[in-house]
Amino acid sequence: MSKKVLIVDDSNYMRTLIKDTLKEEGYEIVGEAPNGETAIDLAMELKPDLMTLDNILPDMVGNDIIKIIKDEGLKTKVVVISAVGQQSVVNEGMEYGASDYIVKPFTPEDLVEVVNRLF
Amino acid sequence: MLDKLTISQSEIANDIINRGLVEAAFSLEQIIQSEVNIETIDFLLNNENDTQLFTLKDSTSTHYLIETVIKGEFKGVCYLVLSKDDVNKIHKKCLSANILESNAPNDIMMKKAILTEIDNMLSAAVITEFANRLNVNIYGDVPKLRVVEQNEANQIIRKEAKEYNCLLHFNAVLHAKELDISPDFLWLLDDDFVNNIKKLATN
Repeated sequence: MSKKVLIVDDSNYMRTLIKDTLKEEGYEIVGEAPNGETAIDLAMELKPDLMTLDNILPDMVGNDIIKIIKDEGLKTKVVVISAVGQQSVVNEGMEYGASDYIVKPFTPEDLVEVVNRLF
Repeated sequence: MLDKLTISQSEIANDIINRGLVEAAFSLEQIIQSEVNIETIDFLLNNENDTQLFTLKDSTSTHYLIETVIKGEFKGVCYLVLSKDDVNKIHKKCLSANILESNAPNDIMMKKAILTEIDNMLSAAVITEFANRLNVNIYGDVPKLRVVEQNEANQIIRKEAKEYNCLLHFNAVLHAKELDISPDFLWLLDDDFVNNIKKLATN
């Protein structure tokens, strides 16, 4: 059975890029969210296996979203995909429970490699 | 560069800014798959000349002004400024033909999103360098795109420079030879940036 993925990014361009890349690799894209509130609602409802998460969203930062879904007991693995590359922020994301962190710009191959490694 | 800094402080500031811009140029290279060089970097003290034009693109061209506000331990704002011609070339390089030719709302949104995403990555490259070197917690907010004439672009930037009590601004032209685009990449930083440079120099 293919793994269910929720894509969270305020950029339509980035959501499409991630969606097309992961669909081609056989993942099922079950939802997309342009902001934190929608991301949390969809995560609770769809219980995806994986969430790709932009760290800076119009209403929230990614680390807070990770904390909320982990506190709710979701087993969703989170890959943070962000242009923010400073080491302290990357470390913080991992401490909150992210499974991996990809710094933009990235190639589709980079994304596939990281995601495949998780399953 | 700055008469308010000593020579060694000025060297540190130059080094951090230059390294940040190199990272930004590298990010742009990855996105557009075309070699990118930093053509010029102009450092200027604010309020030297209130009538100075911040963006020097063709005055007859529409400007795509993408703004990222810097938040955290020091404040500032950066702008990626593209001409209409630059934007057309980026779209042609990065988007599929069916999106290029479409006027559907989603595809129009996609054409804007690629520009804000490029700005997001470029600004983050510089911010990451500042954050790591100065050991400060800063980040760029979600970018905003405005399509304006040159005069309006300069008015917006001048107004922001005053709002941020900007001490320093620098402007780099990132030239992608193969794609033949030359966006301006302009930064306005408040005096906390300079204070952090001084602190780093002391250490």
